[in-house]
Amino acid sequence: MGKYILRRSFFAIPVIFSVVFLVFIAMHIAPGDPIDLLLPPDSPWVSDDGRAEYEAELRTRLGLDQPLHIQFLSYAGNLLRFDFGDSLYSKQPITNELLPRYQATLELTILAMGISILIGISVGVLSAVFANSWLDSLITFVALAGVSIPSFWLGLILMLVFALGLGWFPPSGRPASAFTAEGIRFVVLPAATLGIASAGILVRITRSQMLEVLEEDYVRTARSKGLREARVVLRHGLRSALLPIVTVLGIQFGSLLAGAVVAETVFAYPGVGRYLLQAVSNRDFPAVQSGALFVALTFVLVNLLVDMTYAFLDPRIRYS
Amino acid sequence: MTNTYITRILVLCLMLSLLFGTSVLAQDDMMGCGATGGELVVALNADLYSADAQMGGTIASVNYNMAIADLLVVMGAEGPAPWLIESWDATLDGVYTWNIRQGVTFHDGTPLNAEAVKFNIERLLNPDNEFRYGVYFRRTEEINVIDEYTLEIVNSSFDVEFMDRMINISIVSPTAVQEMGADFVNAPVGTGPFKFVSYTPGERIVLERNENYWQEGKPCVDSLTFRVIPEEAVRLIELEAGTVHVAMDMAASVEQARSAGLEMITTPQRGQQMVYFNLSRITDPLVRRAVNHALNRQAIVTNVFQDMSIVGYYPMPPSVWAYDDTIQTFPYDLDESNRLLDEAGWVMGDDGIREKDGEKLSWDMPSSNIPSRQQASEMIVGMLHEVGIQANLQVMEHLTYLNSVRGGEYDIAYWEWAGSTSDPWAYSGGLHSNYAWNPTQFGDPELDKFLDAALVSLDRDERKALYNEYFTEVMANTYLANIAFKPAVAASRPEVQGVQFLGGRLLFESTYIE
Repeated sequence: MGKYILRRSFFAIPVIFSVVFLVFIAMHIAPGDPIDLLLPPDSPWVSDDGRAEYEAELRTRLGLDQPLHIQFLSYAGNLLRFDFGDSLYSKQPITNELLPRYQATLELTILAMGISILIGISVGVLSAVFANSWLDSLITFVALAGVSIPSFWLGLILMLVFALGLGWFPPSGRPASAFTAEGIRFVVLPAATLGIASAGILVRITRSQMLEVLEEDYVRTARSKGLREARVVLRHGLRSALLPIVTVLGIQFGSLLAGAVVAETVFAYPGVGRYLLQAVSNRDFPAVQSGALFVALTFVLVNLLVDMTYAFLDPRIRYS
Repeated sequence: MTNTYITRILVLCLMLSLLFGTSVLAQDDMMGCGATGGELVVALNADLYSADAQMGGTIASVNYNMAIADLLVVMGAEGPAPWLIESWDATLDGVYTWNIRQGVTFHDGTPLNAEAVKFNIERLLNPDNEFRYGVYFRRTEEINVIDEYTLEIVNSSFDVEFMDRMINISIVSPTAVQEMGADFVNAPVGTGPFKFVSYTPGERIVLERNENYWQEGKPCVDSLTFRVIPEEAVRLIELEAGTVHVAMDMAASVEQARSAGLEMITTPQRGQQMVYFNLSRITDPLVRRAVNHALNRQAIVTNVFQDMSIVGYYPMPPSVWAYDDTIQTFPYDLDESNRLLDEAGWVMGDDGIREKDGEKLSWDMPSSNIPSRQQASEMIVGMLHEVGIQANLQVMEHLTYLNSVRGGEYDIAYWEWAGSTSDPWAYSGGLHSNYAWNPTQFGDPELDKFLDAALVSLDRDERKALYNEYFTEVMANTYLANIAFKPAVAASRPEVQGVQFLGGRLLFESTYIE
């Protein structure tokens, strides 16, 4: 197992390198100049002749006048020393800016994942057990709606109903970590917004997997042994159906991480998604690159975890 | 009996006079605070660039900057007005004498004086700091402390723009900067009505009352919290829920906010909304005039800006002192527009698009993806189509659009800016050959002369005459098409009073919660 993890980690290196490289290229070929926003923003009408000179000076200072490959090499070199650089705007070290936001996004994603698993798997199993009944049709319809509703809209509706209407939760913000008494109330709505959309997909996968498994011989055997139906479904059925579900969960985690940007914007939640969005519109090159790197690393790590879970779920799978 | 009666009346009179007297006294002390105490929560539309007020930044940042660190001057109705600089003199050779307000101290007890202001300017100018407002002092050759409260700035030349730009400069404590170094940003110190408590990037900034603020009795509230809420719809929900007292940038929610019983706070309409022509491509003045006549400005104001903007046919808002209503303008008139296009030789084709010598009257029109700008651009496309002009709208991310317009990669473009200064020079841009901002790709030395002369004159009548001549010429050639002027719009809960708008920025020192 240890050897396997080591080998997988090794394969992660080209993935991470590609991400760093592609994001770097994408940011630099996109039109738009960070200098535009580094100069006074309120009116571009300045008659001051010194402005052009100042622009050139700023460009040199930030290394933006260097050829692209030199810029990339110096960036990659700093990364190897775990130096993510400073934001072009706030002038603050990016690590300082990114880590609290990364924590916020992880909290949000993990809770959303929890909600998604809770709803997705239980409703999916229910749907399979009562296959082709009115309940099944209803669940399929709601799941489809869940997948199709834009999370921006869902977020606002949840906010209107549960924050403004019922007053159960505060509308937006994150004054404290989600794992504190104060913070937990703030994370419920954004986590639900993210979780509900992803639960729709899980319901559908769980349902189809369970339907397949419930037809298997060993399930029939279990039933004929006189086991209780609940035990048949959960112990013999669900456990075997879980393997593909876990794979989907791994991918879902990635899309939750990416989808968090919408929930973070709507719920004024200070996470990596919103940070990245802001950094992209500011052309804050180092901030975008580091943010993307963090997200990519998380994704790689989660997929490694998913692969390791296989061995636990199916004892036939062995890694050597 | 009578004695007792008289005594009673006397006592009553005494009590009444005391009551009356104290209430007047209390009012004087509070200088407009209808109530004191409470925690004020304000929603910003974007995060700060930095908690260091000297970094400047977006309009959202400036609201915070003004709370923690006072500005040198503020934007008055007719140009810069005194703030930390109590009065000033300027000579035509570029020497500015600033009289600094006395009796002001920073939150750390350091007194504000000429030396402190000098330190701040030098900090802005230090290239290592990369502060964006350093650019305003590029022509500063000397900064001389004349006495404790008098500072002399010697620039290589005079212009009106310089003092106007000082509305962006916040002053911070030199002692704190020197002692804290790079950590200053984590505990910034200014002279403002509120003191720094904490900043959670992307989430909130918490400030507390400055007991020793130079405006006695202010601020009215105990604490001020800025929350970063990027979505306007969410700011509205927070206001309705009562979790936020004041929200900036609410221009698209005026109707909903009013029906929810919220108050709208607006500035005079000085933000400019206009159409730029790329004058190197659209060279026929008849065609440009036809566009002016084709624009139904009122429809744009009503549908996109919820009637908060006012229609304006030439690039000067009526609230600016140099405004002149005798300048010829070209209002909405479809018949005239069609007639001019016919006259220019563009014949209506079968597909509703005009043609001349086999060429279609078809233009590239980039638009920002900021919703209100995109909507305005879409309406303009429709209006142009009515007279047979095809505008190919390309909606792009804001900075990309900015770059296209700046670089002249367009034929026609809808443009907006916030209008945070009230001097006429700010409305004259876009056509000067030597200005950094020249999206029209145009230059006429004869026209430049008016602007150059108006910028270096201290005589208001002379300046007004120069701008009048300039805009008469601009309109005669219809070098651009103005649409309207917009205000900055904020909303507040009904129990909140005394929110002040100064040049588009919100000021909370007199704000109180009833």
